[in-house]
Amino acid sequence: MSRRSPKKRFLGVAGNDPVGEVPVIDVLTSLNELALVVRDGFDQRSAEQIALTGTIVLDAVAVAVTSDTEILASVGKEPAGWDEAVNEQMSAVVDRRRVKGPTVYQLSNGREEAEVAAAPLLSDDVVIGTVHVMADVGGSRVAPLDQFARLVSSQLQLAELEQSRAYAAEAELKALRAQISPHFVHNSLTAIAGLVNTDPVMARDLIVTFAEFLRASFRTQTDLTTVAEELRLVDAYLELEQARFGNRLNVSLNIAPEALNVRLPFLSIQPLVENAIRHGLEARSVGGELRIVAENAGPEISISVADDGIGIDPQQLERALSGGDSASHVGILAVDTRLRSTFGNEYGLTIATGKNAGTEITIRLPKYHPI
Amino acid sequence: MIPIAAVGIVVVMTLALGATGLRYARTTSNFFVASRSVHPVWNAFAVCGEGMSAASYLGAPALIFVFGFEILWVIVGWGIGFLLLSLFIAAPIRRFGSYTIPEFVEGRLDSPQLRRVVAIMVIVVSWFFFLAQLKGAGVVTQSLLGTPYWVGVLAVGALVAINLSAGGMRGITFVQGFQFFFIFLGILIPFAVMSTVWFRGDLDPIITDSTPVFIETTAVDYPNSVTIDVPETTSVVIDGLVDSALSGPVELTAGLHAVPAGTTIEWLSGASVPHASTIAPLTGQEWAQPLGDKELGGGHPLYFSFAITLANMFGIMGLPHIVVRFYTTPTGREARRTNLIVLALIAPYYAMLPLFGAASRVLNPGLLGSGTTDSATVSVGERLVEGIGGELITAVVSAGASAAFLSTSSGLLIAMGGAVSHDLMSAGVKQFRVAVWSLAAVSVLTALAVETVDINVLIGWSTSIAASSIAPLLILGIWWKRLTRNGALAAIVIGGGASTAAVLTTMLGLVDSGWPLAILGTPAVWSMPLAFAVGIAVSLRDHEAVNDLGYKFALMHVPDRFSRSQS
Repeated sequence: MSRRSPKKRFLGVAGNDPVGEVPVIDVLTSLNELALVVRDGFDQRSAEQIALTGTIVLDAVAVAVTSDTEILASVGKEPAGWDEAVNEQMSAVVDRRRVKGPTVYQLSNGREEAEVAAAPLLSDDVVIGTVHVMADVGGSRVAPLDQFARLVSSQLQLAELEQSRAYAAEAELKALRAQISPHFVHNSLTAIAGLVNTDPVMARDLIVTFAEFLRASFRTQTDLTTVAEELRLVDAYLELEQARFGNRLNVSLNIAPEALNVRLPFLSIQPLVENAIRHGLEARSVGGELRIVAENAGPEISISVADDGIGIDPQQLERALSGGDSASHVGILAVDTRLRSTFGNEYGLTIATGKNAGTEITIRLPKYHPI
Repeated sequence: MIPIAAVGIVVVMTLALGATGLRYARTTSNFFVASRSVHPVWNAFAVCGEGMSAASYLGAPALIFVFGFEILWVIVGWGIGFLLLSLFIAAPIRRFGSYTIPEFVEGRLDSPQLRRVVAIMVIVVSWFFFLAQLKGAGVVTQSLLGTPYWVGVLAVGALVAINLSAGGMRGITFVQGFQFFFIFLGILIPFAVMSTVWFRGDLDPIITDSTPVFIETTAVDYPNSVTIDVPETTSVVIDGLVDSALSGPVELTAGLHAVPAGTTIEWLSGASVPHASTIAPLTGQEWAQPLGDKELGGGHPLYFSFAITLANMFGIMGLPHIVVRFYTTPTGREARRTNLIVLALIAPYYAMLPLFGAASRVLNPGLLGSGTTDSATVSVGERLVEGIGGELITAVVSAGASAAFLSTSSGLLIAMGGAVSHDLMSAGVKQFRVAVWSLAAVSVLTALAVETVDINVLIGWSTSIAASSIAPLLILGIWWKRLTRNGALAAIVIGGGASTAAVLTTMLGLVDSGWPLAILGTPAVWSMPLAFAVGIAVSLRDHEAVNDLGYKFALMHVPDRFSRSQS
């Protein structure tokens, strides 16, 4: 901002309000910074940036930004009695919740009177703060302030949106967790119950495994895990399923050691395995084979989960993945979404299947993903 | 036949294990075993398989054979390089989590543009290193089968490319671990035999006051056209046509003679060994005396020794195919442990190599005339023991040599292919295959052109460039907080550019003697400090901050036991 071009260009503002000479580049730079900071939410830091940007964009003498209860930031040459006046007007604006446009009030410090414009900051049509602007004596900033307040409000709205997107992703993970549980918990417990009399040692081991699986899937942090960790989760899961399937379930595993340290979102492989068992193998009385392969491919690895079960009707699958038939393949859909949102759109999963032809689901993972 | 079969076993094993060599578990009870990370010892085997290349296996003994003791510095440089890698690079770069060097640089300095520049440097460095491996392949095949040089180059280039595009890197850690055993035994067994012969006193002294002589009547094969310098008139039996005229039993007069490819000349016992016109004859004492009047580095062996030691020390740290190997270890601590084991394995290997060069002066001095000194390691066996024993030794050495250049070639092609498809194009597996094939094709063509260049000269070029571009970037990036994007860019462009230009000048034969050759042929002694200086100077004048610097440094340097829980 210190670099001023020798040839000044002027920001023209429509209306009668005479706004001073501020180089366009300064205004744009400041607005850009504003957008970046406000993206993180409305707090002390963003309030300071709003006030700073306000002085530049509106060419004001003083700018104050408040929340709905107190002054968060004040920039410029504050005249005497500024804080009190701002506080008073803030309450007025906040109380008149319906008012969306700017209001004007006079600030008198004995000798001169100055005009101050105040405008509400809105998020979802609720006043969450106010901006107060004072220009030189005789100047008015009502119209530009109105536009400025609208701009800030729309940025705040964006921040809100981003926040809810993060909540949605988290909720999705929770939903996925909830989705494994009831069906699987019931199956596991019946399997264990069946063993209590005939093979108490095995039953005890399974209960321990079951507890381990639950502990692992209750992990609170939503961050990344490693392929090795995820495979341990799959191991616990399979051990419990095997108790139910007995000899009907053959599991084979091919894991390249290069794959073990690769990071991936928590619960990315286990839902694929569960899908293979529930939708591929369970329906067949003869059981079948489940194959998990992790291969090295230079800067990437690929992991595939394949079964020789009944397969999925491609059309039905397509409906499920486009969200139409959400009941049956929620697990895979969630894995796909999470992989894409973590690594980028090209890292979705690929599914090869057909009726009675088994199913193979493959995911690719980059070995390194910047923090 | 036995040696060819042995090489065949290595090739088949490489292909088979590459495609299927994954951890395999049939039942869930073995699940835990399969998902456990590779043991540091096995990982160290794999790093060694990658790190022990044709450069050390064939190149170092060859140079010692020709030039003498100062070549030991070449080997010392590599050894120190692995130590420095262990001390300064392995653990932090593993903790950072990046897989390739370009990825690390992008992550550390937030600059996609820099990533592409580094990727180009990765390709340049790996390409020179790959040329040396292909040269080794050509020489070994020539020595075993008597085929022309290009056959081996083409065969190995194609083999590695086919293997990689057919999924041969699926279990590469296992392949390289196995290859390590072939390489190590390939050196250990002949070393043991040679030492035994030596201690029994059955080997003639090496350090004599004359140039090498044939200790028995010897038939020397000349697979390439070469001009030999015959020191004294001697009677020989020529199978071929020397000087377009001489054939059969003749008196070969002292002086230069043109020997066409495919000729065999039988020299009498006691005759002085004729050297190729490009190799200056040294007496045993001159050979053993370091820093004497030698052709090395354009006649400046002292400069050469410093320059090559520096190049190798820092070059090893910046070799792209070595650094990626640490990704397989689970933590930074494990990466460092792995590298310590590597040091313990690679040090004795390095220590055994010089004997091959020294013994060749007595056992196989004819190579000095045939211009195929790079085959010294593989052809020492048949001269050492007669009959089946010699063949077995040759088999072991040849198997080791092929394992050495196959494993390193795969690593290099993966590094280059990844740099093109992943870092330059950010594309997928299909583009990786295309990149591998194109790079292999280009490398094979250029390798045909460097037939007369010693393997270790090629390696010296590669390490000089790595030491002047990638290594400074890694060292500064890991250990100096104030490195900025512009600083890094300046270091790699100026350091890498200057050293590459110097090397290309030499490669194209624009300089061929004296100080110009010394300074441009082994540039690390000036280009590496230049890279550091430029990187530091530009960074200090630059005020652009890097994001999340504290976090990145904590990620790299906080010991594993304090970092995020491994629940």
